[in-house]
Amino acid sequence: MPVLEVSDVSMAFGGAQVLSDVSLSVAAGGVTGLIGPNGVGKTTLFNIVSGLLEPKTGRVRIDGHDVTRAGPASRARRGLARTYQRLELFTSLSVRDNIRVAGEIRNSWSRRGRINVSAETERTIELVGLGDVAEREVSELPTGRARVVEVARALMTQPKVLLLDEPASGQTEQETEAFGRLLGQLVDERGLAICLVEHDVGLVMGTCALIHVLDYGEIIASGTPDEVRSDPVVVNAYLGTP
Amino acid sequence: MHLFLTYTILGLVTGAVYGIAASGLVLTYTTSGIFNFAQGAMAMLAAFTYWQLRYGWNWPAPLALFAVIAVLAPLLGGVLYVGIMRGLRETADVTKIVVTIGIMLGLIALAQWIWNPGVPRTDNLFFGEAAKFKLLGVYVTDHEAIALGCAVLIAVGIRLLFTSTRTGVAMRAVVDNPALLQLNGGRPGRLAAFSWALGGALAAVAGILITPISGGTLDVHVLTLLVLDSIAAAMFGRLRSIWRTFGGGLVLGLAGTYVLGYFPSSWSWASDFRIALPMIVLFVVLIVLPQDRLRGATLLRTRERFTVPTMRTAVTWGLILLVVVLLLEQIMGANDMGALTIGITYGIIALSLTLLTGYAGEINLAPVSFGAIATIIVFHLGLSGTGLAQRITPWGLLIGVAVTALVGGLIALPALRLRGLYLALATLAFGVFVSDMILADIAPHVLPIFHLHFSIFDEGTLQIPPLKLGPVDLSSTKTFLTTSVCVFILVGIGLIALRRSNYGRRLTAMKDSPAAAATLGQNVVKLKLSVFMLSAAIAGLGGVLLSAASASVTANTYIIFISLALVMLTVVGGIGSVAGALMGGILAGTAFTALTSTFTNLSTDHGGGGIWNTLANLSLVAPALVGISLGRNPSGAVPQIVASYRPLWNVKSVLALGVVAEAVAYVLVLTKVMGNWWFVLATVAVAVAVPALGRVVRPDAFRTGAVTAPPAPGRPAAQSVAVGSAAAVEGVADARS
Amino acid sequence: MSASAPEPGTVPPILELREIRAGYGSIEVVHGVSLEVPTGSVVALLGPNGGGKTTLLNVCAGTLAPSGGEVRFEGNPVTSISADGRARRGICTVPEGRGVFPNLSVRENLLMATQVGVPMDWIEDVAFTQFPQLAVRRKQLAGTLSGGEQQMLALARAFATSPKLLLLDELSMGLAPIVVTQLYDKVRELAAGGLSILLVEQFARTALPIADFAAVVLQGVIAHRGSPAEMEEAVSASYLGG
Repeated sequence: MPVLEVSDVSMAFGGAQVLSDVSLSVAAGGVTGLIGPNGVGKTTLFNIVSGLLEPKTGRVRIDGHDVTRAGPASRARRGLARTYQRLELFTSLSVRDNIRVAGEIRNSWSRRGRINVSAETERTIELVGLGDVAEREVSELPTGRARVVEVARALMTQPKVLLLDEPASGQTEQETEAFGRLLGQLVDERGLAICLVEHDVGLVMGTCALIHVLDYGEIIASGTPDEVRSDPVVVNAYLGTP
Repeated sequence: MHLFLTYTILGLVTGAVYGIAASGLVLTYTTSGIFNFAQGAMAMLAAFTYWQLRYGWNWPAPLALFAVIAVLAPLLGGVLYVGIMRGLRETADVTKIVVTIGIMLGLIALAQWIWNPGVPRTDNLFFGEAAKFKLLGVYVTDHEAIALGCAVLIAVGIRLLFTSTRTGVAMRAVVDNPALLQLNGGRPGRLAAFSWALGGALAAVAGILITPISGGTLDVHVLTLLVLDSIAAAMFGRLRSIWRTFGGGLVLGLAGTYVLGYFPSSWSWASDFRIALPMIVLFVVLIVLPQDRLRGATLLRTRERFTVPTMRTAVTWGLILLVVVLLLEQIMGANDMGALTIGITYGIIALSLTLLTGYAGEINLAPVSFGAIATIIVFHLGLSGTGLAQRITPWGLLIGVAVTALVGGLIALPALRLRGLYLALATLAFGVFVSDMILADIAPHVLPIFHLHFSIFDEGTLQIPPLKLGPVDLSSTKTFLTTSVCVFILVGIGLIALRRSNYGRRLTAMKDSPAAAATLGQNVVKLKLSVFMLSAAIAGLGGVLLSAASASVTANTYIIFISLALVMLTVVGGIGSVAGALMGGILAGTAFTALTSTFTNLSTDHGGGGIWNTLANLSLVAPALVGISLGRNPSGAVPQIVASYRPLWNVKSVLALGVVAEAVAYVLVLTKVMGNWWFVLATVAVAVAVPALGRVVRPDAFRTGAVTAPPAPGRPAAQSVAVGSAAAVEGVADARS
Repeated sequence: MSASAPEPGTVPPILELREIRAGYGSIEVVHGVSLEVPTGSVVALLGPNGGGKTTLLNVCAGTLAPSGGEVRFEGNPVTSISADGRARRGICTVPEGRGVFPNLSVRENLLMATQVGVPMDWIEDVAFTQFPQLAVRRKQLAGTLSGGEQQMLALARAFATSPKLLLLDELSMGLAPIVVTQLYDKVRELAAGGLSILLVEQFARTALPIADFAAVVLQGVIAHRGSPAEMEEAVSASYLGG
């Protein structure tokens, strides 16, 4: 059973239709890609899934529970975590405290037993490779590494499904490679369900088992990286028509 | 029917003036993003200036009107924008709010300086009382007709400006997208300056029209508050629609006169209710107003920077503070100690702001009103003994604080969806409501069923006895001072511990990004409610101590201007730090009075030089000047002072010299060689001289210090991780909005 | 000024970027880019999201101050001139995500364009001749127009104010392919009239046919530059991998 299920979600801002009957699912133990040109509604979809926006129609299910009417906090309690394309870090806190506070928030609501926040914080910092900047202010970090802080923060809530919104943008090539390995590790070792919005081709093609292509508010193709890459519809969506 | 018409016309006229003042607020807010709390004070200043020209110097009315409305008021508005408001980009909401509050307080002080409040002044109706005509059987004065006519003209005029002129359309365009306006070749800065000038003129019209209608007496505070009421009208239009703003003004005006006319005269609170009505309406309108979605981090990172001290540093500084106060107690007279005690108790109230605003990012403009609530509870439920032996019991204090926390929660509950400016306005409404209705409730009531006689604020003055905590009796001034300092230190250290705890980090997270906190599972509403209650409790504790230190309190002890001054001075000191709260409290409670009396005393010592009097008056305007300077240094004074002293650690000799100089001065005072006020001046001199001397002795130490200091203010520093990369920027429109 | 005067006999490029560095706060996004827009030609900036194209365009428009380097317009440095000053000198910018004021009517939007010193009669005349469908909607709020019509309104400014240089950012974002084609026909018309254009576009196949030169921006530097024909393959690889 998919951990995250989005069915027939539609959304409009003012008169403009942004999403039309979008359905997709994200399964545990794999990275599902969501790609598409700029401005097709990927971030809007993430905002709807995480409860920051209410869709016009459609349903969102997390772990089998219908959360369409639930607020962002109760979705987090069902096991959803996310990062933001426009970073939403806690800028008055250090890197370590950004990660730590997520664990503390998690302990304040979890019924699945408390975690040892200090130990888990150090483990996560080690896992994502932020040890050298743990004491720094997050605002001093280059974007690429700041995005990793958001990932670490999300991991502290021990989620079942993780939404990543352009995590590699601003990362150097080496950082992106390391990040790809991290995603693989999370999927294999923790059985996490990851939904990845990303423009870095290498990362998407290298980590995703399944890719959905969103264009003009609709899913125009779904398939393996190779299928998607050779699909003329997808190529047209990206390169436009002459 | 005749009576109804009379009330309707009176209501329409008042409403029209509300509408005029409020439309100025809307204009300036939409084009510059700054809500002008000083609008009322500008109206007041204009009314006074008009009086001066018209009656003081006997100018003909048209000339006086022209000078005030068309020249001076727009000039003031324009200068305020260009000189101050323009510098407030990239500052937090609270900074923007506090700066205009500073201007309001400054204008009030300025008016009181120029026009001695002891001399009565009255403004007459235009064309006098006799100039009136009959409409549907009711007399309408020419002045009232003029007021209505002005409102109609102004509403239509603004409408025409907004729809038919390029400048007006551009002013609407700024609201939509200032950057795009620039790409069209427009100049947003000029438009904002123009709208501030226009706002100034509208304030002047409102001030000049309303004074004669509301009795004709010119009173600085009453006039300022009267126009503050127009905020409710502006809120009807969501600070956007001019039509609805005027509509809101009419509703307010009519409701007020109908309450006056039709509430049974046996309801003793009816007239208080009428006065409080605009603020009640403001609170209700704010709450029912549709709100925006849960906010993410602000696009641009604000310039405020705060650091949290370690527990060890906090305890060390707490002990130093205690020792300093104990030493001062040896040389201070009872009056001075009393003044310092009041300052410290204000500091405790200010700590409620450190928690609420500094740590949690919420705003409360009426902290002293919470102190008033606690005081009333303690007065009615927490006293034991009679006469001189009467004391506040610890249980009484506890009940007072607990009830205040509950009231804080009750106020916060509906206001939880609000934030930033809207929350600030809701708390302002609450503060004025407390002053107008609860503290003005001086008549006795009979509680039904129980037939219990009581009055909330008996006869308008409450005698608050000192506190007795077990063996510690605060009836001695010295004990009171020492105890207040200890309470301040304990609460302060407690707050720092709180900030360093799991709870404090969650507060910070909520402040920095409510959206991210929520998607991590944080129940934002619960957290906000808890911090509001805790903050109200601290304000209550400080308030009871303040009342006891003042011994006899009236409604004026808790008037909204005191709250506003305290908020402003705390932000000036540094809203993010305990030391900032101490500085804010002491400035609010003692320093400005002390400063004034220092200069007054000096002037009597030396045969009354006019310059000292001028300085004394200047020091009353000073709080505002301090507030206004925030644009350049939004983090507050304390962090700046700390930064200027830090390099001195490397120049121990100078530091030692300073300590010795201060010690010598102290001994001279102790041995009565030198007066206390000279000691104050000597201390100020040492404080200024030490870093200056250090700079001369070891310029290199200061240069390296400058490098590690926070980024120079004024420079648009680190814009944001929030707009981290081009990806972020290019993806802004990912939502296809 | 003599140093910057053009050599006799040569026409200086209408726009010249010299070693531009730019970013947001302490984070640099564009790392020393030099670029010329020859007078009367169309230059296309291509590449995936996050490369720095829009940042570069913002530097040209004056909405973002570069941290290093120089912008020259008609041979004169304009680096320190504000966005509105550049607009009045003849740089017309259509920013990303609909360059219209949503709460102003179509007519009022056109009125705003008069701020560069062109009379309203002329602007209305040209705008409604070029885009007749705007004429019927002149009193409608721009925010209620369709996405395509909003972009037409933004483009109308480029037609009516006779600028010397047009900066176009992602004209196609979030629009249906047929609408994009219509809009680019209009851009082609502008180019044919001799207007110099610098445009940012994600749909390479749409932009390349009207471009005289193209450059692919990757990771804040120009990775490839050359004639449009050479570019399509490079762009395709950058989106979907080789």
